[in-house]
Amino acid sequence: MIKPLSRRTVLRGVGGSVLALPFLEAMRSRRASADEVDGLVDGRIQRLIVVFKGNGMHQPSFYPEPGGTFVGTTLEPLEAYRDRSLILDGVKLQSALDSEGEMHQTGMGSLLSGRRLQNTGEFSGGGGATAGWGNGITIDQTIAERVRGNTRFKSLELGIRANVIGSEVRTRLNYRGPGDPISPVDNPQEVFDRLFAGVDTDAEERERLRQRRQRVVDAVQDQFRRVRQRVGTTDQQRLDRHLSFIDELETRVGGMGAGCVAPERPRDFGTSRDAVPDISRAQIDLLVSAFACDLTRVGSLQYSTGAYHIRFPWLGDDNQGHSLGHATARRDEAAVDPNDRDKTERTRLWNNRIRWYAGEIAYLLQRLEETPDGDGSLLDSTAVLWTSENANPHHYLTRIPFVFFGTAGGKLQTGMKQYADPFDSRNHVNHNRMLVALQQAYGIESNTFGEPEYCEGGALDILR
Amino acid sequence: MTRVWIGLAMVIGGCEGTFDRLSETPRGPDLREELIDESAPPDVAWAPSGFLTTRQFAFATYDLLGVMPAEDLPAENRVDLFVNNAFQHEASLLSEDIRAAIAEDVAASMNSESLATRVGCLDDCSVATLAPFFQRAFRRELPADEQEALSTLVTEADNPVEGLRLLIEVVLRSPQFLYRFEEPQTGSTPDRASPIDDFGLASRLSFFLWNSGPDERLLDLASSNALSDPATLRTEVARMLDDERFGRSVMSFHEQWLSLDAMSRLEKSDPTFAGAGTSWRESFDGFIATTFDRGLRELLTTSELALTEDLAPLYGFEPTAPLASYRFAPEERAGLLSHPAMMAKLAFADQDSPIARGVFVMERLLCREPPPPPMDVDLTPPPVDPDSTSRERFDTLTGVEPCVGCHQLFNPIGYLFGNFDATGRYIETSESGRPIEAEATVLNLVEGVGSTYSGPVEFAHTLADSPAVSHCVAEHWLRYAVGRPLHARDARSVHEARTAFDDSDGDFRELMRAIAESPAFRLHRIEEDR
Repeated sequence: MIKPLSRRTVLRGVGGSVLALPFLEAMRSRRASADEVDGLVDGRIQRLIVVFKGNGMHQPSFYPEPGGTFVGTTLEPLEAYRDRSLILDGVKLQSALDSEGEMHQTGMGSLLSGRRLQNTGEFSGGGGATAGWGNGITIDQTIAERVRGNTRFKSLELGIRANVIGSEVRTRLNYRGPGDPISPVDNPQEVFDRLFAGVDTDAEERERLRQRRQRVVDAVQDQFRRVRQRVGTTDQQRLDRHLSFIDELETRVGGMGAGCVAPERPRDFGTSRDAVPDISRAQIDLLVSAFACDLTRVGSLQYSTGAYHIRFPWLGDDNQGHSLGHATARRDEAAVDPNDRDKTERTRLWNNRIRWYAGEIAYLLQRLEETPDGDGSLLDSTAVLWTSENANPHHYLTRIPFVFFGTAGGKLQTGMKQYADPFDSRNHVNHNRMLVALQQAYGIESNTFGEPEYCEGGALDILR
Repeated sequence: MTRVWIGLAMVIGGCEGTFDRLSETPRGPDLREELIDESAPPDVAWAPSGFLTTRQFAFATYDLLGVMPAEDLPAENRVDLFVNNAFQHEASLLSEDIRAAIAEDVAASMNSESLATRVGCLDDCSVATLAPFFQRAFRRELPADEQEALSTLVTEADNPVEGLRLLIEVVLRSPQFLYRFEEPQTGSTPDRASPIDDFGLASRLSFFLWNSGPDERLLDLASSNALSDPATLRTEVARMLDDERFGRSVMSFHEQWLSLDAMSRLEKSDPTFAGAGTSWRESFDGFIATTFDRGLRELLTTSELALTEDLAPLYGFEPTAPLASYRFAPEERAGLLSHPAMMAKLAFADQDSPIARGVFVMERLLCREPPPPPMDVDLTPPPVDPDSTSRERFDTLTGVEPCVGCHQLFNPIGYLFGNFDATGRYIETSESGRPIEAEATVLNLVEGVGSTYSGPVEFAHTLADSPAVSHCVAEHWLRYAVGRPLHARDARSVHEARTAFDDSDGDFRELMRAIAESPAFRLHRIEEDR
């Protein structure tokens, strides 16, 4: 068998060069306002990152006192960013509570969409429950459409062991639309190649390549349209979805923003469990580089999946995640029973993991902060939302963790918002209202997001 | 997406101390023989057009152009074990992105010589000279306008090499290459199941048996409508089974049926086996390759098991070749279940897993799926204790209410394999010398299985004798062959496959033939009449 030299292998060794690449003016479409063409909100670029980890927090160890220090909580590694953080307490996933399926399924499928799940029952979960895919576009994609402008990628979905158990409702965070999930990419080398392929070629060569690719895409699209006329309804729908991917990729045949630094191509970390810390840092570095080069303005970092089972050997914790979580103390057991050494130990291990995630987010914030952007840093224009599909490892769908770092260009408030007594879930507010506020922070004026009936009361008061 | 009848896992709400309902409700539609209406015409279920899997895309590209794609497309969704389910396997943004890069790489790797050889023209390309290539690439004759549009890529190019490279890229991304659009035979009324046209039949055969597109002979027979002639069909199936490309399909089927992908990623606590994952996988692939032709009985009972040369000494053999078969003690091991790689796969890092072993047998060989564990259950295995056997530990944990309701179904099957440790080695006692008791009583889960067995060997022979097992394997193959869930309309096809398989005492060639000749394979239903 003949193996051709991969286009990707040619790219190795690009690293570290400062790129000054012109935008391709030709790619710009003519639209009404200059802001919208460039994806600006009030004349400025705004960015969003969603960080997901599965199976929630140990809540008594997670939430600080309102206005109080993070020290002593599992947020401690983020203490330096406390003054730029916003913690929401007393928010529930009503759309998940009203969905068919078990809580990892319903939590995951409605977390960013605010929609009840499809009840096609194609996925079976714990306890024999069945559920379908999420049933709507997720907030990150809605915002990405608004802020994308001329960037090459609408969004970047990066995974850290997010594909180990395949593609199903518990493993997918982001959706383009109903039943249309986006698969995150777990391999940093693949991410690098998608982002920085072709950056080592000169402008003339790049233009030639662009024209050639355009030729191929035009001809492929033409064949899709011809074939579409002679196939059945379901096949037409499949071809239309397929064609939409080709259309989206078409715009990626562009240049990139001026003054960005292409990182080194990450090494091959393999798929061993021990590689998670390395992969996490590599994915964060790539996401920050993509922001710095204005290749995209919206990203997700998905650590494992809903109902996650991963182990943390690098913390000396080889327990399977889901089981470990179930053995932790429940939501109101702040002081775990000193006589129950097993539960105390399991809770300690669980909290070590939360601290580890907090440390990774701190690294992300530090990288954003040290990357210059205009007069300030990338962190100034960004909001990082940390969340989970369940409140805690016991599958609660109330008191879901929503913590923001950064203010998306001064749009979000800081501090702590307690919307209800954390232990009285009847009064918790619907997370749709948080999603409404978030879209408004990115210049989308609508008063609903997801199922409209959960948006009663309008946007939560988190905007400045 | 309407999924009225898709054969989803039947959810059995808890087992509540009984297994009656479970044993009476196999997953998917009811395919019992007595429900077949012999007076009704043969029938078939509707499905959307198949979309090439990662492997099919790679092999079809290689067979058409002589170039193997250097990278894989992303992993597909597995539905009821298989990735080729036409309802579920679709394009994605990521796969399209990678496919674009692959198409570019493949085209760039071809020079004027290979282009001229593979496409069949260079300086003299026209719609007429390109037509045979289009037929090979798209596996049927395309409408004239589609051929003309493609031809202009070459005829209007600055130079023929560049033009042909553009064409190759477009072909590898075009819907006619990536989807398997099917049509009924001309002249048939599209109001019910009607014979598939010969080109469609050629593709069904080749993707089933070769995991790739049809060769020129199949396409020639299709263009003269000769392939659907029963005698010709039988001859062609026999030829295809003799072709080495059949091995691609055999490996692909087993990889999915037995979830072999996990094998190469195994990590064990025992440092002797550090990095053994790929060797286990290679050993098991070798076992399938050497045993498959000998039929289901041998697959389930032989004690000749293949091992790589690095693993052979770890199981007590002097290596004789990089990959070779070794005769294990026949009173200790029998068939695929007791292959060291399979036993290592169905185990934790530091101890064996009776639950994984029992559930695996139920799902893969008995076609019975136990319900998933309850939500709040702690799935942590009991800590390893040198003074106890794994059976004792797991029995303490799951042999009690409410767990026992379900665990009584599969735990005993797992206990039969208690002599195989986490790395698939045969052991007789726990670390401190506590004897392992392999004898166990398996409930009457399917016809012919359900008694007290002395261990894995007796059980393997029971499986080999059970019609339920051969029926289950035949059904897995049929689902793999048609690339969609089975439907009540497929009952006769299922019956034909089972009968041929049983009558030949588990000869896989007979099973392949019966599938290729069954209504599910030869008939087509248009969507409007689904």
